[in-house]
Amino acid sequence: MSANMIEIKVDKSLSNLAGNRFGRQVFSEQIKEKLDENKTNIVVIPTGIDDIASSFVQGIYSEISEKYGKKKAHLLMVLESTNVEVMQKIEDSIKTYGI
Amino acid sequence: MGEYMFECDCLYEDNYINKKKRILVKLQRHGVVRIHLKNNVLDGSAIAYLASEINYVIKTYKKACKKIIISCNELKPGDKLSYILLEIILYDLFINKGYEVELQGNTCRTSIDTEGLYDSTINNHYEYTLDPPKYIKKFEFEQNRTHFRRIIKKESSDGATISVLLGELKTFFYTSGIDKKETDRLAQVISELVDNTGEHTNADCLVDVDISKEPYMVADEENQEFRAVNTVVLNLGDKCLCDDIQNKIKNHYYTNSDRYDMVECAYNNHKELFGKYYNEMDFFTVVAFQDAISGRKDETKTGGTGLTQLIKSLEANAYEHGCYVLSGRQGLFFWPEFLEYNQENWLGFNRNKNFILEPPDDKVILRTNTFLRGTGYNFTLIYRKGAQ
Repeated sequence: MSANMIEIKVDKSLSNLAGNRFGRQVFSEQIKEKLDENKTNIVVIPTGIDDIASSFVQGIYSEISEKYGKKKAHLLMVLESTNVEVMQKIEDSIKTYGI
Repeated sequence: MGEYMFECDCLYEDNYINKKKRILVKLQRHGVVRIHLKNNVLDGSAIAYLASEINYVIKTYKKACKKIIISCNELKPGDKLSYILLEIILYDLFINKGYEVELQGNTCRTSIDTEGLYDSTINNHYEYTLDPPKYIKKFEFEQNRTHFRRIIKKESSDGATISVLLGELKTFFYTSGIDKKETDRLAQVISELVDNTGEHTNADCLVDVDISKEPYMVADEENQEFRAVNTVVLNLGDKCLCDDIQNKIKNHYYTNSDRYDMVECAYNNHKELFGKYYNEMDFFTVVAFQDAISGRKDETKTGGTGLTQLIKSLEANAYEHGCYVLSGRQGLFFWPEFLEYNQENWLGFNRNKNFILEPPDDKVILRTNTFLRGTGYNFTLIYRKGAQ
Protein backbone atom coordinates (compact mmCIF):
# COMPACT_ATOMS: atom_id res chain seq x y z
CA MET A 1 0.00 0.00 0.00
CA SER A 2 1.43 3.40 -0.81
CA ALA A 3 1.81 6.01 1.90
CA ASN A 4 0.06 9.30 2.50
CA MET A 5 2.21 11.67 4.59
CA ILE A 6 0.37 14.02 6.95
CA GLU A 7 2.39 16.49 8.97
CA ILE A 8 0.76 17.84 12.09
CA LYS A 9 1.54 21.26 13.45
CA VAL A 10 1.49 22.34 17.06
CA ASP A 11 2.64 25.44 18.89
CA LYS A 12 6.45 25.65 18.67
CA SER A 13 6.68 26.14 22.43
CA LEU A 14 5.36 22.62 23.05
CA SER A 15 7.85 19.84 23.69
CA ASN A 16 5.29 17.32 24.98
CA LEU A 17 2.03 16.02 23.58
CA ALA A 18 -0.47 14.91 26.19
CA GLY A 19 -4.19 14.62 26.72
CA ASN A 20 -6.86 12.46 25.17
CA ARG A 21 -8.91 15.46 24.10
CA PHE A 22 -5.92 17.14 22.51
CA GLY A 23 -5.24 13.97 20.53
CA ARG A 24 -8.82 13.96 19.28
CA GLN A 25 -8.65 17.64 18.47
CA VAL A 26 -5.48 17.20 16.42
CA PHE A 27 -7.05 14.29 14.56
CA SER A 28 -10.25 16.20 13.90
CA GLU A 29 -8.58 19.44 12.79
CA GLN A 30 -5.45 18.26 11.03
CA ILE A 31 -5.76 14.64 10.00
CA LYS A 32 -9.34 13.55 9.37
CA GLU A 33 -9.91 15.35 6.09
CA LYS A 34 -6.54 14.34 4.71
CA LEU A 35 -6.95 10.67 5.57
CA ASP A 36 -6.87 8.39 2.54
CA GLU A 37 -8.59 5.09 3.27
CA ASN A 38 -6.77 3.41 0.40
CA LYS A 39 -3.34 4.19 1.69
CA THR A 40 -1.27 3.90 4.84
CA ASN A 41 -1.47 7.34 6.40
CA ILE A 42 1.76 8.34 8.10
CA VAL A 43 1.25 11.10 10.63
CA VAL A 44 4.49 12.92 11.25
CA ILE A 45 5.02 14.21 14.79
CA PRO A 46 6.79 17.60 14.79
CA THR A 47 10.55 17.46 15.44
CA GLY A 48 10.32 19.70 18.51
CA ILE A 49 8.32 17.06 20.39
CA ASP A 50 10.44 14.95 22.71
CA ASP A 51 7.72 13.19 24.67
CA ILE A 52 4.26 11.86 23.92
CA ALA A 53 1.80 10.60 26.51
CA SER A 54 -0.32 7.50 26.06
CA SER A 55 -3.45 9.64 26.51
CA PHE A 56 -2.56 11.65 23.41
CA VAL A 57 -1.92 8.50 21.37
CA GLN A 58 -5.25 7.13 22.53
CA GLY A 59 -7.02 10.35 21.63
CA ILE A 60 -5.54 10.61 18.15
CA TYR A 61 -6.62 7.06 17.34
CA SER A 62 -9.97 7.35 19.07
CA GLU A 63 -12.23 8.22 16.15
CA ILE A 64 -10.84 5.75 13.64
CA SER A 65 -10.67 3.02 16.28
CA GLU A 66 -14.37 3.59 16.94
CA LYS A 67 -15.13 3.49 13.26
CA TYR A 68 -12.89 0.66 12.03
CA GLY A 69 -11.78 -1.20 15.14
CA LYS A 70 -8.31 -0.98 16.66
CA LYS A 71 -6.54 -3.39 14.32
CA LYS A 72 -7.59 -1.69 11.11
CA ALA A 73 -7.05 1.74 12.68
CA HIS A 74 -3.37 0.92 13.23
CA LEU A 75 -3.00 -0.25 9.65
CA LEU A 76 -4.73 2.83 8.36
CA MET A 77 -2.79 5.38 10.42
CA VAL A 78 0.76 5.20 11.72
CA LEU A 79 2.48 7.79 13.93
CA GLU A 80 6.05 8.62 13.09
CA SER A 81 8.75 10.68 14.72
CA THR A 82 12.44 11.25 14.11
CA ASN A 83 12.90 11.07 17.90
CA VAL A 84 13.68 7.49 18.91
CA GLU A 85 12.28 7.94 22.43
CA VAL A 86 9.00 9.27 21.09
CA MET A 87 8.71 6.29 18.76
CA GLN A 88 9.35 3.98 21.71
CA LYS A 89 6.64 5.74 23.76
CA ILE A 90 4.18 5.38 20.88
CA GLU A 91 4.93 1.68 20.59
CA ASP A 92 4.68 1.21 24.36
CA SER A 93 1.37 3.04 24.45
CA ILE A 94 -0.11 0.89 21.73
CA LYS A 95 1.32 -2.35 23.11
CA THR A 96 0.84 -1.80 26.83
CA TYR A 97 -2.42 0.07 26.86
CA GLY A 98 -4.00 -1.61 23.89
CA ILE A 99 -4.74 1.62 22.08
CA MET B 1 -11.86 39.85 44.04
CA GLY B 2 -11.22 36.84 41.77
CA GLU B 3 -13.61 34.86 39.63
CA TYR B 4 -15.85 32.42 41.41
CA MET B 5 -13.72 29.35 41.44
CA PHE B 6 -14.04 26.29 43.64
CA GLU B 7 -17.38 27.23 45.04
CA CYS B 8 -18.10 24.83 47.84
CA ASP B 9 -21.88 25.07 48.13
CA CYS B 10 -22.30 21.44 47.09
CA LEU B 11 -19.67 20.37 49.62
CA TYR B 12 -21.55 22.15 52.40
CA GLU B 13 -25.01 20.93 51.35
CA ASP B 14 -23.95 17.35 50.66
CA ASN B 15 -22.40 17.08 54.13
CA TYR B 16 -25.12 18.86 56.06
CA ILE B 17 -26.50 16.85 58.93
CA ASN B 18 -29.79 18.18 60.11
CA LYS B 19 -29.83 16.90 63.65
CA LYS B 20 -32.84 17.69 65.77
CA LYS B 21 -30.73 17.89 68.87
CA ARG B 22 -27.64 19.81 68.03
CA ILE B 23 -25.47 22.29 69.71
CA LEU B 24 -26.19 25.23 67.50
CA VAL B 25 -23.45 27.38 66.16
CA LYS B 26 -24.48 30.66 67.67
CA LEU B 27 -24.30 34.01 66.00
CA GLN B 28 -22.34 36.13 68.42
CA ARG B 29 -21.99 39.87 68.65
CA HIS B 30 -20.83 41.73 65.56
CA GLY B 31 -21.97 38.85 63.34
CA VAL B 32 -19.27 36.41 64.43
CA VAL B 33 -19.65 32.63 64.49
CA ARG B 34 -17.13 30.23 65.88
CA ILE B 35 -16.78 26.65 64.66
CA HIS B 36 -14.52 24.52 66.79
CA LEU B 37 -12.99 21.34 65.38
CA LYS B 38 -12.78 18.94 68.28
CA ASN B 39 -11.06 16.11 66.39
CA ASN B 40 -7.37 15.63 66.97
CA VAL B 41 -6.88 14.95 63.30
CA LEU B 42 -8.15 16.91 60.33
CA ASP B 43 -9.66 13.95 58.50
CA GLY B 44 -12.84 13.08 56.60
CA SER B 45 -14.95 13.38 59.75
CA ALA B 46 -13.57 16.79 60.58
CA ILE B 47 -14.07 18.11 57.06
CA ALA B 48 -17.62 16.72 56.96
CA TYR B 49 -18.40 18.35 60.32
CA LEU B 50 -16.91 21.65 59.23
CA ALA B 51 -18.85 21.61 55.94
CA SER B 52 -22.09 20.79 57.77
CA GLU B 53 -21.64 23.62 60.26
CA ILE B 54 -20.79 26.08 57.51
CA ASN B 55 -23.95 25.07 55.65
CA TYR B 56 -25.98 25.77 58.80
CA VAL B 57 -24.32 29.17 59.23
CA ILE B 58 -24.83 30.22 55.62
CA LYS B 59 -28.44 29.06 55.41
CA THR B 60 -29.52 30.23 58.86
CA TYR B 61 -27.73 33.52 59.41
CA LYS B 62 -27.31 34.60 55.83
CA LYS B 63 -25.91 38.15 55.68
CA ALA B 64 -26.15 38.57 59.44
CA CYS B 65 -22.97 36.53 59.72
CA LYS B 66 -19.92 38.62 58.88
CA LYS B 67 -17.05 36.60 60.30
CA ILE B 68 -16.35 32.91 60.66
CA ILE B 69 -13.73 31.73 63.13
CA ILE B 70 -12.58 28.15 62.66
CA SER B 71 -10.63 26.93 65.65
CA CYS B 72 -8.87 23.73 66.59
CA ASN B 73 -6.53 22.68 69.37
CA GLU B 74 -3.94 21.37 67.01
CA LEU B 75 -4.00 21.28 63.21
CA LYS B 76 -2.88 17.80 62.23
CA PRO B 77 -4.01 16.88 58.71
CA GLY B 78 -4.81 13.22 58.09
CA ASP B 79 -3.36 13.47 54.61
CA LYS B 80 -2.78 15.97 51.85
CA LEU B 81 -6.32 15.86 50.47
CA SER B 82 -7.66 16.79 53.91
CA TYR B 83 -5.72 20.00 54.18
CA ILE B 84 -6.33 20.88 50.54
CA LEU B 85 -10.08 20.62 51.22
CA LEU B 86 -9.67 22.91 54.23
CA GLU B 87 -7.70 25.32 52.07
CA ILE B 88 -10.47 25.36 49.46
CA ILE B 89 -13.14 25.94 52.11
CA LEU B 90 -11.22 28.89 53.54
CA TYR B 91 -10.75 30.31 50.04
CA ASP B 92 -14.43 29.87 49.21
CA LEU B 93 -15.60 31.56 52.40
CA PHE B 94 -13.24 34.52 52.12
CA ILE B 95 -12.82 35.10 48.37
CA ASN B 96 -16.07 33.77 46.88
CA LYS B 97 -18.50 34.54 49.67
CA GLY B 98 -16.88 37.59 51.23
CA TYR B 99 -16.82 36.48 54.85
CA GLU B 100 -14.07 37.57 57.15
CA VAL B 101 -12.34 34.32 58.03
CA GLU B 102 -10.00 33.52 60.86
CA LEU B 103 -8.25 30.25 61.46
CA GLN B 104 -7.25 29.71 65.07
CA GLY B 105 -5.04 26.89 66.20
CA ASN B 106 -2.27 26.49 68.67
CA THR B 107 0.07 24.33 66.64
CA CYS B 108 0.45 22.52 63.31
CA ARG B 109 1.65 18.97 63.28
CA THR B 110 2.61 17.52 59.94
CA SER B 111 4.27 14.37 58.68
CA ILE B 112 6.05 13.31 55.52
CA ASP B 113 2.84 13.37 53.48
CA THR B 114 1.40 16.63 54.82
CA GLU B 115 4.28 19.05 55.24
CA GLY B 116 3.11 20.76 52.06
CA LEU B 117 0.65 22.52 54.37
CA TYR B 118 3.41 24.96 55.35
CA ASP B 119 3.49 26.40 51.85
CA SER B 120 -0.30 26.54 51.50
CA THR B 121 -2.59 29.50 52.14
CA ILE B 122 -3.58 27.82 55.41
CA ASN B 123 -0.22 28.74 56.87
CA ASN B 124 -0.16 32.44 57.76
CA HIS B 125 -3.77 32.60 56.62
CA TYR B 126 -4.34 35.91 58.36
CA GLU B 127 -1.61 37.62 56.32
CA TYR B 128 -3.17 36.36 53.10
CA THR B 129 -6.54 37.79 54.07
CA LEU B 130 -4.92 41.22 54.33
CA ASP B 131 -3.93 41.04 50.67
CA PRO B 132 -6.67 39.35 48.59
CA PRO B 133 -4.88 39.58 45.20
CA LYS B 134 -1.85 37.88 46.77
CA TYR B 135 -4.17 35.27 48.32
CA ILE B 136 -5.77 34.51 44.95
CA LYS B 137 -2.41 34.35 43.21
CA LYS B 138 -0.99 31.95 45.80
CA PHE B 139 -4.12 29.80 45.66
CA GLU B 140 -4.07 29.59 41.87
CA PHE B 141 -0.38 29.27 41.13
CA GLU B 142 2.84 28.23 42.79
CA GLN B 143 6.10 26.87 41.51
CA ASN B 144 9.10 26.78 43.76
CA ARG B 145 11.64 24.10 44.49
CA THR B 146 9.28 21.97 46.56
CA HIS B 147 5.78 23.08 45.67
CA PHE B 148 3.78 23.05 42.45
CA ARG B 149 0.24 24.35 42.23
CA ARG B 150 -1.99 24.97 39.25
CA ILE B 151 -5.69 25.51 38.74
CA ILE B 152 -6.80 24.23 35.37
CA LYS B 153 -9.96 26.16 34.65
CA LYS B 154 -12.77 24.30 32.97
CA GLU B 155 -12.88 26.64 29.99
CA SER B 156 -9.19 26.14 29.22
CA SER B 157 -8.82 22.47 30.06
CA ASP B 158 -8.69 21.20 26.50
CA GLY B 159 -6.37 22.07 23.66
CA ALA B 160 -2.70 22.04 24.49
CA THR B 161 -3.22 22.81 28.19
CA ILE B 162 -2.45 19.25 29.28
CA SER B 163 0.68 19.17 27.14
CA VAL B 164 1.84 22.40 28.74
CA LEU B 165 1.06 21.01 32.20
CA LEU B 166 3.12 17.90 31.48
CA GLY B 167 6.09 20.04 30.45
CA GLU B 168 5.78 22.26 33.52
CA LEU B 169 5.61 19.28 35.86
CA LYS B 170 8.71 17.76 34.33
CA THR B 171 10.53 21.06 34.82
CA PHE B 172 9.36 21.24 38.42
CA PHE B 173 10.67 17.74 39.16
CA TYR B 174 13.98 18.39 37.46
CA THR B 175 15.67 19.65 40.65
CA SER B 176 14.02 17.14 42.99
CA GLY B 177 16.96 14.73 43.09
CA ILE B 178 14.58 11.89 42.25
CA ASP B 179 15.21 9.63 39.28
CA LYS B 180 14.02 11.43 36.14
CA LYS B 181 12.36 8.35 34.71
CA GLU B 182 10.13 8.15 37.80
CA THR B 183 9.31 11.83 37.88
CA ASP B 184 8.51 11.82 34.14
CA ARG B 185 6.16 8.93 34.81
CA LEU B 186 4.53 10.77 37.70
CA ALA B 187 4.21 13.92 35.58
CA GLN B 188 2.41 11.85 32.96
CA VAL B 189 0.03 10.31 35.50
CA ILE B 190 -0.81 13.71 36.93
CA SER B 191 -1.47 15.24 33.53
CA GLU B 192 -3.62 12.27 32.54
CA LEU B 193 -5.67 12.59 35.69
CA VAL B 194 -6.27 16.25 34.94
CA ASP B 195 -7.19 15.45 31.33
CA ASN B 196 -9.61 12.79 32.46
CA THR B 197 -11.18 15.13 34.97
CA GLY B 198 -11.68 17.86 32.40
CA GLU B 199 -13.29 15.50 29.97
CA HIS B 200 -15.83 14.03 32.34
CA THR B 201 -16.79 17.02 34.44
CA ASN B 202 -17.52 20.67 33.94
CA ALA B 203 -15.37 21.97 36.76
CA ASP B 204 -12.06 23.57 37.55
CA CYS B 205 -9.28 21.20 38.53
CA LEU B 206 -6.69 21.78 41.22
CA VAL B 207 -3.28 20.16 40.96
CA ASP B 208 -0.95 20.39 43.92
CA VAL B 209 2.36 18.61 44.28
CA ASP B 210 4.80 18.98 47.14
CA ILE B 211 8.16 17.38 47.67
CA SER B 212 9.33 16.95 51.24
CA LYS B 213 11.86 19.65 52.01
CA GLU B 214 14.27 17.72 54.15
CA PRO B 215 15.20 14.22 53.14
CA TYR B 216 13.93 11.58 55.56
CA MET B 217 15.95 8.74 56.96
CA VAL B 218 14.43 5.32 57.52
CA ALA B 219 15.44 2.82 60.20
CA ASP B 220 17.35 -0.13 58.71
CA GLU B 221 18.13 1.86 55.59
CA GLU B 222 21.33 3.52 56.64
CA ASN B 223 23.02 5.98 54.36
CA GLN B 224 19.85 6.30 52.34
CA GLU B 225 17.83 9.45 52.11
CA PHE B 226 14.20 9.43 51.12
CA ARG B 227 11.94 12.05 49.71
CA ALA B 228 8.16 12.08 49.60
CA VAL B 229 6.25 13.38 46.63
CA ASN B 230 2.67 14.15 47.58
CA THR B 231 0.08 14.90 44.94
CA VAL B 232 -3.55 15.89 44.93
CA VAL B 233 -5.65 16.22 41.79
CA LEU B 234 -9.08 17.50 42.75
CA ASN B 235 -12.20 18.80 41.16
CA LEU B 236 -15.45 19.77 42.86
CA GLY B 237 -17.75 19.03 39.98
CA ASP B 238 -21.42 18.36 39.57
CA LYS B 239 -21.06 14.59 39.58
CA CYS B 240 -19.12 11.70 41.04
CA LEU B 241 -16.56 9.60 39.19
CA CYS B 242 -18.90 6.68 38.59
CA ASP B 243 -21.99 8.66 37.54
CA ASP B 244 -21.48 8.65 33.76
CA ILE B 245 -20.61 4.99 33.42
CA GLN B 246 -23.36 4.03 35.85
CA ASN B 247 -25.84 5.93 33.70
CA LYS B 248 -24.46 4.38 30.51
CA ILE B 249 -24.69 0.79 31.74
CA LYS B 250 -27.98 0.99 33.64
CA ASN B 251 -29.73 2.75 30.76
CA HIS B 252 -27.96 0.74 28.07
CA TYR B 253 -26.61 3.88 26.36
CA TYR B 254 -24.41 1.85 24.06
CA THR B 255 -24.91 -0.30 20.99
CA ASN B 256 -23.39 -3.51 19.74
CA SER B 257 -20.66 -4.04 22.24
CA ASP B 258 -19.75 -7.39 23.76
CA ARG B 259 -17.51 -5.64 26.23
CA TYR B 260 -20.22 -3.36 27.58
CA ASP B 261 -22.56 -6.35 27.65
CA MET B 262 -20.00 -8.05 29.91
CA VAL B 263 -20.04 -5.06 32.24
CA GLU B 264 -23.81 -5.31 32.38
CA CYS B 265 -23.44 -9.01 33.13
CA ALA B 266 -20.94 -8.19 35.88
CA TYR B 267 -23.38 -5.65 37.30
CA ASN B 268 -26.10 -8.28 37.50
CA ASN B 269 -23.67 -10.63 39.28
CA HIS B 270 -22.44 -7.99 41.69
CA LYS B 271 -25.93 -6.81 42.59
CA GLU B 272 -26.26 -9.98 44.64
CA LEU B 273 -23.19 -8.92 46.65
CA PHE B 274 -24.18 -5.33 47.48
CA GLY B 275 -24.50 -4.60 51.14
CA LYS B 276 -23.08 -2.43 53.87
CA TYR B 277 -19.43 -2.88 52.92
CA TYR B 278 -19.69 -3.00 49.13
CA ASN B 279 -22.30 -1.16 47.09
CA GLU B 280 -23.34 -0.08 43.62
CA MET B 281 -21.22 3.05 43.68
CA ASP B 282 -18.15 0.97 44.53
CA PHE B 283 -18.93 -1.29 41.58
CA PHE B 284 -19.23 1.54 39.09
CA THR B 285 -16.11 3.24 40.44
CA VAL B 286 -14.27 -0.01 39.64
CA VAL B 287 -15.91 0.00 36.19
CA ALA B 288 -14.58 3.52 35.60
CA PHE B 289 -11.06 2.05 35.64
CA GLN B 290 -11.71 -0.83 33.24
CA ASP B 291 -9.82 -1.07 29.97
CA ALA B 292 -11.76 0.07 26.89
CA ILE B 293 -14.73 1.19 28.96
CA SER B 294 -15.72 4.80 29.07
CA GLY B 295 -18.52 6.90 30.45
CA ARG B 296 -18.48 8.88 27.20
CA LYS B 297 -21.79 8.31 25.47
CA ASP B 298 -20.44 8.01 21.94
CA GLU B 299 -17.75 5.47 22.63
CA THR B 300 -17.90 1.73 22.71
CA LYS B 301 -14.54 0.53 21.40
CA THR B 302 -12.14 2.86 23.14
CA GLY B 303 -11.94 4.50 26.49
CA GLY B 304 -10.03 4.33 29.72
CA THR B 305 -6.53 5.67 29.73
CA GLY B 306 -4.36 2.83 30.92
CA LEU B 307 -4.24 4.88 34.06
CA THR B 308 -4.11 1.98 36.44
CA GLN B 309 -1.10 0.54 34.66
CA LEU B 310 0.64 3.86 34.95
CA ILE B 311 -0.22 4.03 38.64
CA LYS B 312 1.04 0.50 39.14
CA SER B 313 4.32 1.29 37.48
CA LEU B 314 4.66 4.38 39.66
CA GLU B 315 4.18 2.31 42.79
CA ALA B 316 6.52 -0.43 41.60
CA ASN B 317 9.38 2.02 41.54
CA ALA B 318 8.64 3.80 44.79
CA TYR B 319 10.00 2.71 48.16
CA GLU B 320 6.62 3.28 49.78
CA HIS B 321 3.33 4.51 48.44
CA GLY B 322 -0.19 5.35 49.39
CA CYS B 323 -2.52 6.20 46.52
CA TYR B 324 -6.27 6.47 46.41
CA VAL B 325 -9.19 8.07 44.64
CA LEU B 326 -12.18 9.51 46.44
CA SER B 327 -15.58 10.37 45.00
CA GLY B 328 -18.83 10.59 46.91
CA ARG B 329 -18.33 9.08 50.33
CA GLN B 330 -16.15 6.31 48.99
CA GLY B 331 -13.26 5.41 46.79
CA LEU B 332 -10.55 2.92 45.95
CA PHE B 333 -7.04 2.36 47.25
CA PHE B 334 -4.61 1.57 44.43
CA TRP B 335 -2.77 -1.38 45.99
CA PRO B 336 -0.39 -2.69 43.29
CA GLU B 337 -1.16 -6.36 44.03
CA PHE B 338 -4.74 -5.68 42.96
CA LEU B 339 -3.88 -3.73 39.81
CA GLU B 340 -3.33 -6.77 37.61
CA TYR B 341 -5.43 -7.20 34.50
CA ASN B 342 -6.54 -10.72 33.64
CA GLN B 343 -6.35 -12.29 30.19
CA GLU B 344 -9.57 -10.66 29.08
CA ASN B 345 -8.20 -7.27 30.24
CA TRP B 346 -10.55 -6.91 33.19
CA LEU B 347 -9.32 -5.33 36.40
CA GLY B 348 -10.92 -7.09 39.36
CA PHE B 349 -9.14 -5.18 42.15
CA ASN B 350 -8.99 -8.60 43.83
CA ARG B 351 -6.52 -11.49 44.17
CA ASN B 352 -8.22 -13.63 41.55
CA LYS B 353 -8.30 -10.77 39.02
CA ASN B 354 -11.97 -11.55 38.64
CA PHE B 355 -14.05 -8.51 37.81
CA ILE B 356 -17.09 -10.34 36.41
CA LEU B 357 -17.94 -12.41 39.47
CA GLU B 358 -16.00 -11.15 42.49
CA PRO B 359 -16.03 -7.89 44.44
CA PRO B 360 -12.87 -5.86 45.07
CA ASP B 361 -10.71 -6.95 47.97
CA ASP B 362 -11.71 -5.41 51.31
CA LYS B 363 -8.38 -3.56 51.42
CA VAL B 364 -9.30 -1.71 48.25
CA ILE B 365 -12.59 -0.25 49.39
CA LEU B 366 -12.33 3.18 50.95
CA ARG B 367 -14.93 4.91 53.08
CA THR B 368 -14.95 8.45 54.39
CA ASN B 369 -17.38 10.67 56.22
CA THR B 370 -16.93 13.53 53.73
CA PHE B 371 -19.20 13.48 50.69
CA LEU B 372 -17.17 14.77 47.77
CA ARG B 373 -19.21 15.62 44.70
CA GLY B 374 -16.34 15.50 42.30
CA THR B 375 -13.17 13.45 42.35
CA GLY B 376 -10.06 13.63 44.48
CA TYR B 377 -6.86 11.71 43.85
CA ASN B 378 -4.33 11.58 46.67
CA PHE B 379 -0.94 10.08 45.90
CA THR B 380 1.97 9.74 48.27
CA LEU B 381 5.11 8.23 46.81
CA ILE B 382 8.36 7.88 48.73
CA TYR B 383 11.49 7.67 46.67
CA ARG B 384 15.10 7.11 47.44
CA LYS B 385 16.96 10.31 46.76
CA GLY B 386 19.23 10.08 43.75
CA ALA B 387 19.56 7.30 41.17
CA GLN B 388 17.48 4.15 41.69
